Amino acid sequence: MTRKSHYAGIIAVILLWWVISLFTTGGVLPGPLKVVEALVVILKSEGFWTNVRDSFIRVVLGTLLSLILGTLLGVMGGLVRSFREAVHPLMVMMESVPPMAWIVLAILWFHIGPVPSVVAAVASATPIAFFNTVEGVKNINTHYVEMARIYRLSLKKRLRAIYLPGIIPVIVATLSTNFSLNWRVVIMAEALSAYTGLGQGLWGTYLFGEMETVFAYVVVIALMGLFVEYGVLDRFKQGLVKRYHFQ
Amino acid sequence: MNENTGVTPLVRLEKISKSFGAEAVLKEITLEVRPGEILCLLGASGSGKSTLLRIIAGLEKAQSGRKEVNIAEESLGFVFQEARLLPWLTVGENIKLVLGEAMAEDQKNRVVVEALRRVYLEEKVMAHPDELSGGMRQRVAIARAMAVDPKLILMDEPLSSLDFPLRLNLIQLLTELYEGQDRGGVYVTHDVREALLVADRILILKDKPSRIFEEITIDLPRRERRLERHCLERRYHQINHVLMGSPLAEVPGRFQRMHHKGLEKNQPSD
Repeated sequence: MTRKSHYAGIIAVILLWWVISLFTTGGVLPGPLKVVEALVVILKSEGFWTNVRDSFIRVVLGTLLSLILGTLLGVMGGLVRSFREAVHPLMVMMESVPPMAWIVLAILWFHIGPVPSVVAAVASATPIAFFNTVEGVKNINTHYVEMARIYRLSLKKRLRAIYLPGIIPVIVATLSTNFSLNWRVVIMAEALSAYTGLGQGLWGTYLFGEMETVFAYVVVIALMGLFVEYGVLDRFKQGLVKRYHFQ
Repeated sequence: MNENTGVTPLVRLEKISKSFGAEAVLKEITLEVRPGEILCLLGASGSGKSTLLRIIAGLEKAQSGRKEVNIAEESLGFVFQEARLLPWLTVGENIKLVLGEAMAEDQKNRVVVEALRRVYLEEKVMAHPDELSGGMRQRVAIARAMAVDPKLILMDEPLSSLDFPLRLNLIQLLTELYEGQDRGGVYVTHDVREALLVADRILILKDKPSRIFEEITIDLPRRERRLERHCLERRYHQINHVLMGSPLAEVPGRFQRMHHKGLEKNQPSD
C-alpha cells in the first residue's frame, strides 16, 4: 500500500464522519471540527500527557511480558511434544476467556490501580504468542534442522543459530497483533480499574457527558495505534528483515 | 573387515530395504564404502539413491537390514543438493557453527579461513549467503563439510543446480580435495558424466523397488580423467546401456559432441 492510498483512506473516513454528523442530533456523533476543538483542549489539559504515558507503558509492558512468556513456552512446546500437549489446553482456556473477564479477575486479585490492566493484557495476549511460536518452531525449514542433525549441533547452538532467528518473523507478527490487542484491553481495563490512563480519561469524560471530548480521546487512541504500527513496528520489522537477511 | 579386500569399510549396509507407506523404494541393498574411495550411487530420479544416502547419514531409518558405521559420529560431512546455509549468519559463521564447541575460538577462525581458502572464497568470510551466487554458496557448503575434517563425506547431487562449466570446476575442486586422503565419500547423481569424473566405483540403482543393478569400477586416476578419454567413453555407453537400454555400439566423436551440447541430455545424439 502506498502512502497516498493511506492518506486517501483517512480523508475518506473523515469526510464520511462529517457528512453523517450533519444528520445526527443530541451529541451522538459530534462533527470533526468540534472534536478537533475538544482535542486541542485536552492536549493542553493537566494530566493528559500523564494518561498517554501511563497507558503506553501498560500496553508496552503487557505486550512484552506476553511475548516473552508466550515465546518461551512456545519454543519449548515446539521442541518438546509432551510439553506442548500439557500446556496447550491451558492456553486454549486462557484464549477463550474474554478480556473483560480477565479485567474483573485482575481487579479482584490486585485491586484498583495500574496492575489489573497489565495483568489482563498479559493474560489475553500470551496464548496468541504461544500458538504462533509453536507453529513457527514446527515450521522451521527442515533443511536447517537436518543440517543441525548431521553436524550434531548442541541444543544451545540450535536455539541460538536456527530456532530463535528462524522464528523472528513470527515474533514480529505476534508483536504487532499483541500490541493492537493490548491497546484495546488496556484502555478497557483502565476505564474500570485505574486512576490514570487514556481509558480512565475516556470513561470520565463520558460520565460527565462531554461527547466531543469522548471522541477526542477515541481519536487520540486511534492515532497512537497508527503511530505505533507505522512509526515504530514497521521500522522495527524492516530493521529485522535487513539484519537477518530474510527474503 | 571385508573378507575379500581385507579393509575395514567406513560404512557397510547389508540387505537394507525401505518403503514410504505402501511404496517400496529400496530392496535389499548391500554396499560398503572403503577408505580412500568415492562411491557413486547412480540412478534415474526417484530411484531411491538420495534415500539410501539419508539412511547412511542417519536421517532416515531403514525398514530392515543392517547398518555398520565404523567412524566417529562427528566424522561425517554432508553436502546437500541445496547449500543449506543459514541466511542470517555470515559465511564464516555458517562454517564456524559446525565446529566442535571444545575448539578454541582462534583455532576455529583458522579452520574457517583454511576451509574457505580451499574453495577459493576466503575473501567472502564476512559475506552473507544472499550476497553470493549459487555456485559460491555450494562452495561454502563444501567448505563447511570439509571443515569438520570428515572421515566420510556424503554428497547428494551437490552440483545439480549449477550450470555445466561451474559443475566441471567444482568436480575438479572436490576431486582435488580428495587427492591423497584416506577419507571416503558417497556421491549421489543422476548424471552419468559426473559419476565418471568423480567416482572410483559406480553402483547403478534401477527398478522399482530399486536394487543395485550393476557395479562399475573406474580405475583411471581421477586427475587423468577427461570426458573425452576413450576408456571413459566406453564406460559412458556401458552405463547408458544399463540405465536406458541404449545401444552399446561405440561411435568415435559422439561423446565429445554430446558433451559440448550440455548436460540436459543423457543420451548421445547424432
